[in-house]
Amino acid sequence: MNDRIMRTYSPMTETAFYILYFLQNPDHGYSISLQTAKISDNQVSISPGTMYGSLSKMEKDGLIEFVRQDGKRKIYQNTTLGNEVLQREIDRIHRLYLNSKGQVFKKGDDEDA
Amino acid sequence: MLRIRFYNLGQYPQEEQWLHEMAAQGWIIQKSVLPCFYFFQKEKPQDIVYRFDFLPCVRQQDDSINLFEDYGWKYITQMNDFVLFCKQAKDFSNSDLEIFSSPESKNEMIMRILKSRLIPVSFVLGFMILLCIYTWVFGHSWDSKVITTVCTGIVFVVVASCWIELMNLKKKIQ
Repeated sequence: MNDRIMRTYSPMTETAFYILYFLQNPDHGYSISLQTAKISDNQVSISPGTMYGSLSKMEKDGLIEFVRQDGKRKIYQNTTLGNEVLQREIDRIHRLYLNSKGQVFKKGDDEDA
Repeated sequence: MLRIRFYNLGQYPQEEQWLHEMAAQGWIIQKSVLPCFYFFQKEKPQDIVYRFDFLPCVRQQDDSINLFEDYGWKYITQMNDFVLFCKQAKDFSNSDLEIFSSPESKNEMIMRILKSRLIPVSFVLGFMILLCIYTWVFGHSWDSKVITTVCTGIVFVVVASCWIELMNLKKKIQ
């Protein structure tokens, strides 16, 4: 994976994480924001300026791609690279979580996540 | 009603606050014409929050307006690539009255302003300073020396104050 992408997206901001998580399926910015607020019990909110900036940047970096126009809304989805970057971050969080419980992490544990 | 006010590139938070105060007195912003002309319409006093996003490309502005409208923001106008949105404060909680939810995205707006406005203008200032030095060193007429010096001085003050305000904004984000 591209060094620059790794430096930019690992560790990942919560905004980027939730965008990539929800764009595993096609969706638009406001819907991602509503789902993020719901799934995080309002701990994480993504405001429109942040959402627009992040979507633009991720599209430029090749992590997401424009799928179609739905009325006024632009529908995006993760690219293969986007899904890889997301999975790397999930594995990293998983390792941190296990270690935080005093459990030793083994590289092969990734596959169970 | 026309009001004249100068806000530099780094003073958009103060501009947002001023528009809010005007709305509280019943003066609602309709549009603005560079560099300093603001046109208001008289309505009843309202608690309106104004926010600027800086987007140096028309396609970005159109996409952004559509997204912001989903969040309940109303598009007012665009001034020199500063896109103005507003919301009725009473209808929303405090966190919904901000357009940036992360320090990184706040910082990115400042970087956009720097890259597409302030840095090019600073190059122009650099050229003006060289021109000014040239008129002094190569003994041109007194008039041309005074004119170039005054113009360069004015541009220098404006550009320097923009840098100071934007760097202060960046520091506040940290």
